[in-house]
Amino acid sequence: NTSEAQTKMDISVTNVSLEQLFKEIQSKSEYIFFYKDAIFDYRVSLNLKASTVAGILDKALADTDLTYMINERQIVIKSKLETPAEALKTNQQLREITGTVSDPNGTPLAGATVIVKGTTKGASTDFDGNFKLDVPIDTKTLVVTYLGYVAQEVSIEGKSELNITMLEDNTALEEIVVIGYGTEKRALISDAITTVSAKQIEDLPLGSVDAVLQGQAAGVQVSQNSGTPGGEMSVRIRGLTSISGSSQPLYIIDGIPVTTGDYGQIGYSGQGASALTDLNPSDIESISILKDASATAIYGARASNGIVLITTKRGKVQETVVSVNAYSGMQRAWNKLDMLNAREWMEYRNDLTNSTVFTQEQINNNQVDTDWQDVIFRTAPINSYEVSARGGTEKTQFFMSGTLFEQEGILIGTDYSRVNARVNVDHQISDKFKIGASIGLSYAKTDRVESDQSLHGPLPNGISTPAIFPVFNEDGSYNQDGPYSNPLSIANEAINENFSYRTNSNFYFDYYITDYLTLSSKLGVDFLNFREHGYESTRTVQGAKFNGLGFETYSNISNIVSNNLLKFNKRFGQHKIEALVGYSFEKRNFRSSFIRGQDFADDDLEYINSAATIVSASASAADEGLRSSFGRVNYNFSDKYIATVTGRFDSSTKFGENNQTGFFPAASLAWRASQEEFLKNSRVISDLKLRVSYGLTGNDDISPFLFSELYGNTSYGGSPAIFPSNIPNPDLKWESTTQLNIGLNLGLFKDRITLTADYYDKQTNDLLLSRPLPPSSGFSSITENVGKVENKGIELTIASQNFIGEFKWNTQFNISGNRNKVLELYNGQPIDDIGRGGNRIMEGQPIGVFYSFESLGVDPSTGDIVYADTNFDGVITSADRTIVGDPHPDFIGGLTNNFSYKGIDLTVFLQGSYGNDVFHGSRLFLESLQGGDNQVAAVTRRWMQPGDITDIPRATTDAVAAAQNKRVSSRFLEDGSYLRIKNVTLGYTVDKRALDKSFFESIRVYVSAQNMFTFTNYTGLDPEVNYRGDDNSVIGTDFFTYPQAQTITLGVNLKM
Amino acid sequence: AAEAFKTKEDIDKGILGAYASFQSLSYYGRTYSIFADLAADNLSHPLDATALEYAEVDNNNLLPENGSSSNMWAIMYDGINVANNVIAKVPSIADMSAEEQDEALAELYFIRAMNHFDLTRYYGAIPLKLTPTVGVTGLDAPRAPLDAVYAQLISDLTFAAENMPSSGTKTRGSKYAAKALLARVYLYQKNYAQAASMASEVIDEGGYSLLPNYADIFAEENTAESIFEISFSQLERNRIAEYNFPRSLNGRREVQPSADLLEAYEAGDTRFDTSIAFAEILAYAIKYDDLSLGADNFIVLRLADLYLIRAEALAKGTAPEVTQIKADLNTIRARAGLSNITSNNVGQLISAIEKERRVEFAFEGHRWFDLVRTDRAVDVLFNVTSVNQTLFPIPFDEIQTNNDPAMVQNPGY
Repeated sequence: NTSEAQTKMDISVTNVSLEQLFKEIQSKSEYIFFYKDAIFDYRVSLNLKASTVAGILDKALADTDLTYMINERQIVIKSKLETPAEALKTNQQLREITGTVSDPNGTPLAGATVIVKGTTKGASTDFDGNFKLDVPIDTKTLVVTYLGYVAQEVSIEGKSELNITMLEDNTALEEIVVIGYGTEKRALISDAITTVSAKQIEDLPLGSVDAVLQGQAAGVQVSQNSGTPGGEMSVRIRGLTSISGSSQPLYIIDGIPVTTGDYGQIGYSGQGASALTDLNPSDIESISILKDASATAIYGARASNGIVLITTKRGKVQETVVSVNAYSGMQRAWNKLDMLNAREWMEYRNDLTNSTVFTQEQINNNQVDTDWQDVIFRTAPINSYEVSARGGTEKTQFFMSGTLFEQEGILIGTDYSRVNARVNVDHQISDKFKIGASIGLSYAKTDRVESDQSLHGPLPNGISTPAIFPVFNEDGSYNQDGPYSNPLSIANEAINENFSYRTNSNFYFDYYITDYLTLSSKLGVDFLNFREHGYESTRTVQGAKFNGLGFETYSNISNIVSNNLLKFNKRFGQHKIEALVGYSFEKRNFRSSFIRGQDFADDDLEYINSAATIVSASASAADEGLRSSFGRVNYNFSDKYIATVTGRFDSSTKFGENNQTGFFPAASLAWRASQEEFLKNSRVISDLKLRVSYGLTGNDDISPFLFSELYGNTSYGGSPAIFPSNIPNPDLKWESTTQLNIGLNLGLFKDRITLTADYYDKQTNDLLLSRPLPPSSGFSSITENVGKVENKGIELTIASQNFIGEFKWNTQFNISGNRNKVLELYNGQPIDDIGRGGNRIMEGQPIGVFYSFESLGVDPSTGDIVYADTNFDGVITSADRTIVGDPHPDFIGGLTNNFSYKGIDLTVFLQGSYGNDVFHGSRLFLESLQGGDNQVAAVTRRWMQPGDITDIPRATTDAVAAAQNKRVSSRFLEDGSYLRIKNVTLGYTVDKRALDKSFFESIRVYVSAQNMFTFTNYTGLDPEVNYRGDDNSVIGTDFFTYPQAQTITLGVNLKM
Repeated sequence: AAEAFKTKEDIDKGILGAYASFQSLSYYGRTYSIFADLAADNLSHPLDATALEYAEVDNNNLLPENGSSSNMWAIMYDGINVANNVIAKVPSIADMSAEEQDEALAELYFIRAMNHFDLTRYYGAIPLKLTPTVGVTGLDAPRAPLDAVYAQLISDLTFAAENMPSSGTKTRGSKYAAKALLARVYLYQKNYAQAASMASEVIDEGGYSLLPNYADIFAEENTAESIFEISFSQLERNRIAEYNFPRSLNGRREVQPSADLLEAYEAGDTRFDTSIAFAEILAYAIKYDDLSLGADNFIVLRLADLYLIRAEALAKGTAPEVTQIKADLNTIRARAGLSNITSNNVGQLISAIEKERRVEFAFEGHRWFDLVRTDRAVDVLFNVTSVNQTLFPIPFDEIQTNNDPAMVQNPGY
């Protein structure tokens, strides 16, 4: 922490030992002193005001034979006599040892302390990590220490040159964790916070920030609903708390809330764009996931879904390190559906119609047998190139980076590319003033295709088109004889692009009023310009219908945020108080326009100005505001008992006149039992902390103005017309979630094994529920605060260092289980039949249970599906529907093993979900046993004659029977559990000695595989799917959903 | 929001807002009229088509969950609510005279009646909605008995007929549009005397005339034969052609003319070529053929209907006037290039009228309602084996959310 050197403090001591003085300094700053007991024979008296630590030490050590050295937060006190030159005079038999101290990545560690074991003789490493030390001839061992790393003893027998690699202190109790509007030492945190470091996510060929969270943090469920490059994901922290509001967490980058979501105006259902993908994952230094009420309440009305705090990399006081990280790889679909080939299709058609649609001769002589999945899927490249520079002086530090990320989709017609630039600068103007800025810019382009909900999507069409149709006609034109548009024609001839231009920047200043009081102010902007451009030429079916069809949309979202904080930090003996008060406001403007035109003059003129007819044009505007004041007090007694109280007032323009301001309080307590006398010297337990927290947070994520009586605009006969579009609800307010969290942190064997366990109970009241109204009222629903949902769960994280030393093996494991239950709805009235899989919201059940007919299998005598007559009335009606499945997993988890030996490193990361059902909706068509769709190969075992025992009903042209057989039912419900080898990375770091004369500081090459294996019983393309994208209630449903890719990349990390 | 209605112009925008519901794809923009031919024997759902909900209608085997039916129900009540909303505002508009206020109310009653009528034709006894929805209480509505529904229709339309002007654009209601609809309502109510006299009023006094060339009815908009039509334009499109046209012509072909209908045309019937075209061997309906823009207006009421209403009402009335019945029927036949019906047998004439209506109004959304109101559906339609099937099920979401004890499902569902 480079600002530390400028921290000014008042020191007033009389005749105290130096040790006491150092403790006093430690209490007022983040400094840590390193010293040897033997040299503290001195006592000092000082009375200094607003002095830097250097000033204090200069005075305090003036009359001693001690000197000091400051490196970042470390202060090493040593004897002047024991500098090597002095020592030479007093010892005759010495030998010179030289060496380098570096971190596991080969980065030199400046200011590491190297001491002859058992003495106070030593040296510090220089800027390049080098040290030179003259040691007594009989010296056998050196001790090397550096803050944040495990102290290491190094044998020097027979060696005069050492290369010492320090191991990170994984217990990291000293690690500084980013929390809401501040930072805290990990050891002293009383809340449920999980962190993900840059290290955990490096090398992963992932395009977006949400993807990197998957499997890394207990209690965080990340579902990559579709494999669309640049697509959105569902992130759920501790379950679903909302039905009609958003359940996505609030993302905050460097203190500024980020605009997330899908701003596309052209429907691509399930292929939504995500504003979060604009951010470059490799700029991330750390991610803190705030989970319990005490951690999140400082974000008040937006905190119920949890908070993801992202901190970007900043400069360091070091010689400039230039890094180049690049990878290049290939992706492919990991799975293919087994479909009927041409012969099987023809035989099936004959059976279906009970006639000779195809003669035996036609079947035997057929030449066309198209594997449409081979037509629509492809092996696609993925590349990323990143250059960054990081460095700085005591006064000014910087980080800058530029990244190019390119990904072609495994489905034809899809790709994504992004260019990011970032400059983060911090500058100390004076002792009192510090300023800084973070500027992130990005440009992204996505090529999309229409998706599952349309008859014009390459994926559904590619899978559903029978193999008897060729891709091209003999004259080279697209063959359109199949039941749907030729998928290749759509992918090649339709243009569906979107462009995102993003500025995510902030400027701040810190003013150190006194040594314990700081004023900070930060102004942030998040500007997003999102443009869609679509054009379907007459070469597509869709385009031909309209003589060319073009779209142009613009969305402009600007969010301006001002955060103003006053921070207090002071120790009174054993009592330490940290407090902050803050005031913040946000102003958010949304503007959009949409135009659709047709009758294009020429197929090659793709912009609207060539359209003879404008069929739709609109523009809209919405403004929102949020005004907040908040505060937090953290009390710490002797690092043993810690209490935190937090509160926030939020006033939002989204809410009704009767409820414009909400108050969100929370509190937490922690007891560090390991600091108590009875455990302090335990050889087994190195850390034991018990935590409890309770508090109230809100969720305000609904559309603005739902509280008021609204009129919509339309037209009739070309004249403007209006209609009532909303029933007013002046009582509308945020959802309230109370959360109890009980947690435990345990460290064993000097923290070689650490365990974090949490139990939570989240009760959400006043649900923002889009309550269905009788359609006869003229409205389908009203958004009201009705209903209750609970989420209860446990989370467990275990990290262990199984082997240390030259062969290293670390394991991180997390598992969590959430139980979601709807407790109350309006009048107990369920929300029924949502989505294609029959999701339902009903009291006493998790949100979105599958509620449909229970299939009892195929009646051997008729070949038709038999459904359970649950009310025994002799007929199958909608009253016979029942709960047939649950889309929520029982448990989710991740397991990472890191191995390293000498220059070789290996990471194996597994991720999985257990106990969730998936509605395999594609089978509604692919096992319809009627109509023109190709069928899965499984239908070859269909019922053919009385007595057949099978699970697949008969093929029939009896439309009523066929429709009955393919009712939404448990027939199409499958176990969606899976375990994925999400990532395997094998790296090799070139021996530093080989680079001595070269330009490079370090070189690492690696090969990495994503989704290498997926173990699942699910029969679809991919178990991790949801055709409706990020939806609260339509969940766990596959409907021709874009599957994830299997990726192999080769990468290199260079430092110079 | 409270400021939305202050002037006469605001009221007019509100009235147009109520008309806009007719344009919905679930209503005259596509589903409503297609279903009336699909549930009957004019249209069928091809085996390789994809909309399951259409298959249910074709098979007369609807589930209460049928989404298309549910959307249709909802949009009709949406139109009613918009109309009621404006009705409630009219009395407070200071710059409107009493006559102007009545004129506005008349047009709104016309819209409300049309929605209620279209509802009751598919679903039978329905909730009558006469006040706007302004809050969330009191929304549980009972199904009003058919008598009450018809009494309200007649009351609304009578007021509309008395207070609307007789001329104006045909995409909005008018005095004679109200009377024409009233004639139809009386016919459904089996009040034949009133139906005949109301039809006569429209024929004699309305100023409309049959176009000599049947094809011109659909080639032009606002013709002399048209009484009321729903406006569609490139900005307010219908998707009727899209669902009828074959894929080779870039349509979706969710429906196709039934083989039975193709045979129902007599030789030389000039209406055939105006109604049906062929793409290779596939027949498809072409009365509404603007696939690209969907901008062709949908004709709800035209003069030919009034001739056949009068003919049928007279035939079923207490003293059938055979001459007049034959005259009306033959007026329609003559235009189609067909010879006169000469029979004087009333039963045969009634059958002839039924058959004539089928081809005259094919794909215009009549056939199902004609067969149901004449209690002929079970006899004529292969899939309809029980009278229960002649009413669509009340949509499931209404049953689920409307807690009035009198909101019960139709029998058989």
